[in-house]
Amino acid sequence: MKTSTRLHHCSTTFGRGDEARRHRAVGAIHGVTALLIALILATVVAGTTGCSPSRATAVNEYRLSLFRIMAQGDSASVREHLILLRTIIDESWSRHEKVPPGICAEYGAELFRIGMAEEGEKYLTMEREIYPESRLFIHRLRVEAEGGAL
Amino acid sequence: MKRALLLMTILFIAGCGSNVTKNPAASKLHLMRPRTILVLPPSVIRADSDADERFVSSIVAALLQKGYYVFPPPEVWKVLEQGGLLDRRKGNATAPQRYGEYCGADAVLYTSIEEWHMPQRTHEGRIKLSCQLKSAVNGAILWKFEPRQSVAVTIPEDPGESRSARIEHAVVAVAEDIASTMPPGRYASPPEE
Repeated sequence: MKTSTRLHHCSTTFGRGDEARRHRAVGAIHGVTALLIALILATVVAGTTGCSPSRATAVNEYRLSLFRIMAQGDSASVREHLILLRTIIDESWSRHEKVPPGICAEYGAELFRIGMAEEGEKYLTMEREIYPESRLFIHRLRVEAEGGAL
Repeated sequence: MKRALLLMTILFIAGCGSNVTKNPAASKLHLMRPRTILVLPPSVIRADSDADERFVSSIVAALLQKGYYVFPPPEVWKVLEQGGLLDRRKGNATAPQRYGEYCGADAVLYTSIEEWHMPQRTHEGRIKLSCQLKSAVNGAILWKFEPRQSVAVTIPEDPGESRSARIEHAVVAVAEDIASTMPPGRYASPPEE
């Protein structure tokens, strides 16, 4: 509809002698439309498949810490992991972003294990609220962590 | 000009779809779109020490980057052990549906380290890994990565970094390569307010 209106507008503006110019103008409009579509698609795909740099950094630090607690499993690596989890949570909040999946769950469970049940509960609830699909996992995790704290 | 732009758009769209079509089984994954993934401890056939921890931490990070909700391995393994669903000495014989019922996983990732050798004095190691993602609803294979042969892994040369860190870079690249054959998860977009 818009294109036909544009064509009509072009024909009345340019007249018969400007047929070639009119074609070039219509071609340019289509070219710009195609370019805009390509740019919009690029933005949409980048948004849905990518990962913001801040989140990518957080995931990379999480990976290193995860490796350390699994390979070493000593109290120092667990403590450092806990500090990292808290840092990721705080940084996400300061950027007004969702905390990445699983972070609040891990942090809450660790707090439970060191006897900070009230604070731990707060983070487990937070994980469940941000990611409702974690509901059953959080329930099991709470039971396991409570058992560990006894 | 117009045709060139249209051609570019078509090629761009075709390029976007390549990740999904690389792995035929991934179409099932694309249809099911699981939110939550449970990564089980890998079954190790032949590997250097620390191989399983390196692989698990790298594949979990790659899946998180890809936008999936991955249960934190140390926590979920404790939960499964407490529920009698996981015994790391005996391997992963439990059906994926049971994991789903117990902890709410939509899909379960079974991994195997068939070969993992990083010789001390060379810059090249060999790795053979296989992965299967199964539906926790019906047990169907949603996606798999099963190379026929082991692949050579180049350990980058950087005198400023420890050998362990350089091996880590190589393993991360392998894990990202594996995850790149999966479609993006539900949390692939930047987190929303």
